[in-house]
Amino acid sequence: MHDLLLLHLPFAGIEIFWPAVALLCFCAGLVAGFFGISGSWIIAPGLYILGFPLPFAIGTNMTQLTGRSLFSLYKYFRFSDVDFKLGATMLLGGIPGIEIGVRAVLLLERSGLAEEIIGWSYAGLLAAIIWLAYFDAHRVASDDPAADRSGFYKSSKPGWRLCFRLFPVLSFRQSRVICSFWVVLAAGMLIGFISGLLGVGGSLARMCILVYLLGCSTRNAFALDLLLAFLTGLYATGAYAFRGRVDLLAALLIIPIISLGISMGAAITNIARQEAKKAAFLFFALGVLVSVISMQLGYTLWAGIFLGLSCFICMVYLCFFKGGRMAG
Amino acid sequence: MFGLHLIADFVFNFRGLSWGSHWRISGQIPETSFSRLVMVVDTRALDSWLLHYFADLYNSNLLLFAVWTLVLTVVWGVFTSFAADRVVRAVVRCPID
Repeated sequence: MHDLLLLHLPFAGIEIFWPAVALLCFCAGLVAGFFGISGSWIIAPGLYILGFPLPFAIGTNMTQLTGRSLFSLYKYFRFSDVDFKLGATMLLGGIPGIEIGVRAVLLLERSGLAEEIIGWSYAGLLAAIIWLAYFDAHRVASDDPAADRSGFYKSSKPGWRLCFRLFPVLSFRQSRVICSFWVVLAAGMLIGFISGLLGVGGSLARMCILVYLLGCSTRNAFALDLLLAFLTGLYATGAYAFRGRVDLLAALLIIPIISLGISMGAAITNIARQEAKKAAFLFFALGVLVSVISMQLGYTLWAGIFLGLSCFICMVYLCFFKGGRMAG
Repeated sequence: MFGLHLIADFVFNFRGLSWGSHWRISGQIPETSFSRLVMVVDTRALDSWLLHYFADLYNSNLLLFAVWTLVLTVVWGVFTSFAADRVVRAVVRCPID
């Protein structure tokens, strides 16, 4: 019985408690489906807590981004929604950024500092996401006139928007943005570095930069984000696999579970209340943050318990109650 | 000197060059070992021929392993996303779009 619950992963050289990994991936998928962002910022630290070596947790997590991004881009958008010029410029910075991130992870692994530095970086990232989600919920609740119901700021300056006049200045016709090449390149490189270092998709940071900094419309930003998530995810997966830091068996097992979670999350989001969604998001992110901090402080068992509890409560809350109403 | 070694190792990712520069500068062996980590899969414990093939590939040709990983994960990701959407649409009976 005990053997049935353990799965040997030959590439990472570990045995994992697979029901916990399945629960984590399903819950991360649910939350990701709810908010239309990738759940990689939950899955990567979650896999690390559940026993994956950190480079393998990052590399394996990157594999789930590509297929889903491509499918979503095909399903929800047309290619005419994508500003290819802006995408190519961001990708020009993104690819070197990812490569630097991957090399930094391998260097930290060799020097024995990966768990400490990247683990605390996850805690910082999760704290930033929680603060952003709380700020967003508070802003919408206080009827900020600049915020629409989806929580995004409407552009106060319709039409072309000019930011950062630093030679060479490029005009992005599809997004109606005029911006310095260096700003877009630096933004792409920063997001790529974070993606490569922490194994996250970078959707949240990319959306913030595209909508708030550059002033793209949310539709253009979403479409471009999906295309960039696919391309950067492809490069990051290849980079980690080429260094032997991807467990192919684990990747093939987690991908369908995450896909199912995302599809369920997307279905439930139409019937759940806005407040319930935000509460679930905040609660789950807080649970993962507490788990990561416990892990970093050496309380491995408590980290697993916190992670399992937050996953379980989040799943039950979203699937069966949908924010106060029983499913039926 | 330790920091310089870290930067050299990071930039060149080439052990001989960074060790050389370290020896020239400081003339002593650093406390931390920066030898490359070589990952291998123990193929003796694998029963499945498919896993055995990929494990052999992992041990002998990482480039081909990376190509296989990319192809498999993208195709599998698209297929499972499509299938999951169909299943959820049938079960939950609510508009996904």
